[in-house]
Amino acid sequence: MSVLKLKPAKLLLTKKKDAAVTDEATSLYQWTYYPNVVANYAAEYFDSVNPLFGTNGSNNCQNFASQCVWAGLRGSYGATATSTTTYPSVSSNIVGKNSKNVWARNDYSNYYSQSYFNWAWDNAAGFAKMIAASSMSTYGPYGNTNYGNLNYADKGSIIAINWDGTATQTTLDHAMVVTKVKSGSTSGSRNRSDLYIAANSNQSNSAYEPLLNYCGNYPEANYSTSIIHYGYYPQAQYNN
Amino acid sequence: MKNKKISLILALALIFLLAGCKNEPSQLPETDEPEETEYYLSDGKENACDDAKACETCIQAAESSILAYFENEKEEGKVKFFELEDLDIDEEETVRNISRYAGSELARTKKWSTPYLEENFLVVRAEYSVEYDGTKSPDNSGDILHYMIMTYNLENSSWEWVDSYMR
Repeated sequence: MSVLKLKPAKLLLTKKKDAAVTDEATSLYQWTYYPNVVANYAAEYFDSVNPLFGTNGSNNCQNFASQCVWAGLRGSYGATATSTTTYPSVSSNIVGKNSKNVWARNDYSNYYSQSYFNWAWDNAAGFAKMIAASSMSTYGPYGNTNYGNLNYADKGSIIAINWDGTATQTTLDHAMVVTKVKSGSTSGSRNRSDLYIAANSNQSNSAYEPLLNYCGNYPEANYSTSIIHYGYYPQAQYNN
Repeated sequence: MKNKKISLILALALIFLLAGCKNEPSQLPETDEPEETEYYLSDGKENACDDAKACETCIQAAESSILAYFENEKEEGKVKFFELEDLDIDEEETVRNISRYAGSELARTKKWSTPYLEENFLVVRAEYSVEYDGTKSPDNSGDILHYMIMTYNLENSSWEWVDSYMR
């Protein structure tokens, strides 16, 4: 268990783009991201609904994927197991409506003019953009998003597809959770046939459906990959 | 006497062999690998797409379901505009999804046997225009191609909308 409390002086050297998030850049804890917990959560809920989060009905893919990330940050540990607004979720009540890192069920920000970007918990393009914009000085999951390939997809990554062409920030249609990678495949050179996924809307046929079986023969350029490394929060991660 | 003994030995050997064959399958290791399945009904139909009456009632159920869904979304203020443009069975997607689900973990959970899927599973393609209120819904506005997964509930004798995906 590595809980790293970063020094404020170091944090102030990182991204500091907008006033809404600078208040967060005080003293943040680094939360470990557990890909195995992500996969276990996906296996438990790919064919059922966690009543804590409910469902978006006919469009539940990113809600399910966000839940898996939440679980990977140990959201189901401790007191937060019964709340959708406490960490590791990032509620607008905590960071403000004008923050780009609002990430909580049924919550949204006013940060972007394109409204779907403001729903990072529930919209595939919104989640990918939030991860792309994440930093060590803002609350929430931290990582990066690659548009147009699956090269670095790994267990615990969230991948998304544009059914109509190359994946870009504005064209993502559907999110999936990587639950397994093919043995012997290498991060940096992964492709469609190396990945197994769990998904909602529509449901994968198991928590480990081969990506090619689920999506069909779409090129790698149609995918984005959001890789989550850690979370950053103003309190220590839950241990049990 | 000698012939009787030989006959008895042969009979015992035959019984032993038959018993051994019968027991053999239960000695095989269990596996989670889905069984390979061919999709043919006994009357020659490949799936419910070939059943005109089933398709008709399924389309009617899909239409009333999606209209009711968006009516509810409108009442909740999430949808500003909705217009259904087309609705039809998509045979290619029906076949693709039956082959994905047959023998899978999800099929076992939902008690979808392969014969059940072949006769009671259809994918309806709905095309519509929708405009969401971006402060109330995370969904994308525009011209949407929405695939509705429909299964026939044998107890209620009705088609039900059980899952979705969009393209």
